[in-house]
Amino acid sequence: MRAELRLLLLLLFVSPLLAAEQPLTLEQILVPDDHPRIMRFREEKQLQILEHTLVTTGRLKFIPPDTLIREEDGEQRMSYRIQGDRVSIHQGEQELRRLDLGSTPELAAFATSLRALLAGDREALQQQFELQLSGERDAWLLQLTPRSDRLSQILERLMLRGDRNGIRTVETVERGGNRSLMELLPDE
Amino acid sequence: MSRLLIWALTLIAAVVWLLAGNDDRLRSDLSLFLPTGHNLEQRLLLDQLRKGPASRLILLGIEGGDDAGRARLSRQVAKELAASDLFAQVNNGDQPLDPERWRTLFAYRYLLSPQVTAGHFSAENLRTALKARLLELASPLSALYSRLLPADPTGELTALEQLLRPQQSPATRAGVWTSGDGTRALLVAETRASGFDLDAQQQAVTVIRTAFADAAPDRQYRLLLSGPGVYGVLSRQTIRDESSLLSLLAGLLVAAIVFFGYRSLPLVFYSALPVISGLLAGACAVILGFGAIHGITLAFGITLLGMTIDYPIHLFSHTTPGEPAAVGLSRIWPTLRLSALTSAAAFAVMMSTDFDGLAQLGLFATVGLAAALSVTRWVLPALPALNGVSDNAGFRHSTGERFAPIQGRNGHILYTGLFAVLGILALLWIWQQRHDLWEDDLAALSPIPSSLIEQDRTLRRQLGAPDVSRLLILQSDSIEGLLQQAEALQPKLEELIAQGAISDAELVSRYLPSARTQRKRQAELPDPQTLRANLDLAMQGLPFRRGTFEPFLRDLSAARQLTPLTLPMLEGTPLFSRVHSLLLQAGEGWLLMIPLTGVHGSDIHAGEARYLDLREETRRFVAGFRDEALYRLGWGLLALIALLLVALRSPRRVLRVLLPVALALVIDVALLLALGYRLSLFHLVSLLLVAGISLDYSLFVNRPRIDPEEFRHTRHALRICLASTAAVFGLLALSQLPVLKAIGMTVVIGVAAGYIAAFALTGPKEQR
Repeated sequence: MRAELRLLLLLLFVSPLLAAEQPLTLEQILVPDDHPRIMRFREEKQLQILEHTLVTTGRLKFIPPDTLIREEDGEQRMSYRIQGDRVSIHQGEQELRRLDLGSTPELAAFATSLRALLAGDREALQQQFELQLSGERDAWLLQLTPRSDRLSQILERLMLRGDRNGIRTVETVERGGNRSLMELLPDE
Repeated sequence: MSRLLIWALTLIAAVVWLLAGNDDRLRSDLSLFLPTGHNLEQRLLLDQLRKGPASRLILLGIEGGDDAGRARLSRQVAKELAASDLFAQVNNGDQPLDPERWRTLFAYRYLLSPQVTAGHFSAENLRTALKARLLELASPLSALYSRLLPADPTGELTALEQLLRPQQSPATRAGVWTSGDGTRALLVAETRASGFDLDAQQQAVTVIRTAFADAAPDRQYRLLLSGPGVYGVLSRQTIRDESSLLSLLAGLLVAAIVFFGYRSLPLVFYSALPVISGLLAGACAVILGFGAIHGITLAFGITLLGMTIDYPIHLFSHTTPGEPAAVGLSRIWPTLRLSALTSAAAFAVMMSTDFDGLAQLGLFATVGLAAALSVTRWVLPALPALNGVSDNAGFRHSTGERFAPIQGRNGHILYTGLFAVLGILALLWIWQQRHDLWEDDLAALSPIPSSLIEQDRTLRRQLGAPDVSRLLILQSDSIEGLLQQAEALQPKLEELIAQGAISDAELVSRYLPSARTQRKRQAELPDPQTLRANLDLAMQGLPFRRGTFEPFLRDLSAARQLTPLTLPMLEGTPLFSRVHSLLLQAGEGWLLMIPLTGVHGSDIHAGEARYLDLREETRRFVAGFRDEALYRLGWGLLALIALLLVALRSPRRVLRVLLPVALALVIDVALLLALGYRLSLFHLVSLLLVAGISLDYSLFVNRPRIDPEEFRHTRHALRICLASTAAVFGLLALSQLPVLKAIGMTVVIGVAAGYIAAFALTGPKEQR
């Protein structure tokens, strides 16, 4: 038998096994999506200086291509609007502050990661972070490590978990032991 | 023969001495040629502008590729530059906060923060502050706040940072500064050396370019550089390149013209000897007299000594074939001597000025002229080859009498009338333009193309770099006095901002309050027991862990014992360069500068502060410098006329000799104005050259008692003189550099007018 033919046969036998083992790719997780979406979130923060976990709930609105709004529940009615490279902080209807994403790397991390994930914008993510993907289609984990010195002084890494329907949780690990876990739920 | 030996040895000695000296005898520091300011205060301010932080900034822009690529390059270049010890600091918007640098300020936060007033640390206010902190902890910004919270629950550091933040910081993409549209990554580097130290700036620019080339090996990305130092380096390079190219071309052209005139290679060589000797003598004299020679003096000096090429030409043309050069020389010597001495006298007057640059130039030209004349007189006739060469010189005056189409008495009247009309028209034109005569904007003469100046403006705007051209000045015996004055001025400035007279003012007391204010704040800090009680009350029902705020209690107690912060203690903090650049020691006392932005109107009144518009001041200084030059030139011309009167012993003859010179100058100026130029120092120096050369022409044409044969010799000589001068300066006029172009245009127009006027106004009796 010719060598090539032998190889082909071998491949035919083995290929179903290969398919099962095929590594998950970023393209599968990050599918460009330009539909506006609203979802609820529940965030648990464990901070060294607080006696108990700080729980915040609210809604996240994503308006393609580059607007993300975080509206917190509660009497203070705080909201954070991230549009392009600008961030504005509101209390109720009143705008409290306006910031540039670059001057506040924590916000930049929050905005770019979540926004880029929702939009399926791989490039934007890769600009800010080293990406490391593991798991399988129905239970994947994407770890984001900051590229810039300034951000990595504050943020150790972001861990995003999800399934084939998209992102489920965002876990933030800060330098110094503070962490937070944000759960994304469909809007009721 | 011994004469030749002495000359040759002197020449060799001069060359050896010049070459053996170290490099710092040739200065390129521009400040020698810039105005120095009338009083101490102005001098200090200009000094600050030249050497201060503003002059040290190099702005970088990276274009091409994509966002991520530019950000990567920006980071890599910033890292490289920070590693080099040429730069005091480099910023691309991605610098990690260095806690070391903030240590002192953090310790002093309760004395520096404007929030610290009576009752700031009451239980009620503390509770409000803690609640606000809790909200921040829930926000996506929590990472920033939670670190400092235990030591700073009232947020004083944030208040300080807010004060320090540039008024408009650039936009950011991919974590680094970019232009508003995001297509250009921006960086700022501050060199350790002054922006006027061109050698150091050259080094800095090279390091930046190398760092960029290493980071971006492909041609996809472009680097833009701007800043005072960068432009200084660029102008020096451009002037050097262009001058050396032009001098090479000019040298070849003159050689060709001399060769064409005399058909003799040795004469081409000999014609260069007086010029070279003059240049060497001038350079040696200036270095001996001033310790160093400025590059601009050298350039102007070479220009002025260009007229000495005429001396050997006179000698060659007036030597009849077969006769020794010494005989030809004896016929023209009185005229040649007078021509050189009158010019030298005019230059010598310049030496008396206080301006180093002008004084150097005067010395250079005076000594150079004397040396060139001496070489023509004593060395050239002694050269063995010269006497033989004239024999077969091919010039033989074949071009005869073709100069003036209308000869004789009628011609003379016609030309006199024509020139009278021209002269009057020119004078009228100059009079009419008298308000628009001078170019006081140095930028118009800058060798930097306007597109680059525009680029600098754009980068500056995009980076939010301050424009320190309008200031308020406060003066006091001590820094403390200044800071108190500044604090007192604050309400007035806020009022001006509210009125729209200015859009902002940078008060140094915002960063460094006076000791008085710091003590006042210290007095508002509660004692440890009171503070702990207030805090316990404030924390009730809030989720903060007990003991969290121990650092706060500790630091605030410590702050009660601090001695107020002063300027020397700021060294090493982010505030230092900011504060230091706004405070100046002036003699016994101190000056404080308050940069203003968005000034409307031409004057700002604010208490004791004096308003200063540096751009306007600089313009005034330049005008003053030019007036000084003009004044010296006037005296120079008077000296020249006096010398002529003594030598010619007849006011009528002096008038006849000077008339073509005056016409040349007037027509020159009028034509320059008509062509849309305005006069600067460079034009003035060129006009001096025009006067010298025209006088030479006029003196030779007006020589008494010469026969037609001799007159033909003179005409031949002047024709070659004119051709060589016009060729050299015609080349300069073609230059792209405004300065060289100005010199070239002025001289070409002037000598042409002088030549024509000299011949046309010579009466029929002389022409015969």
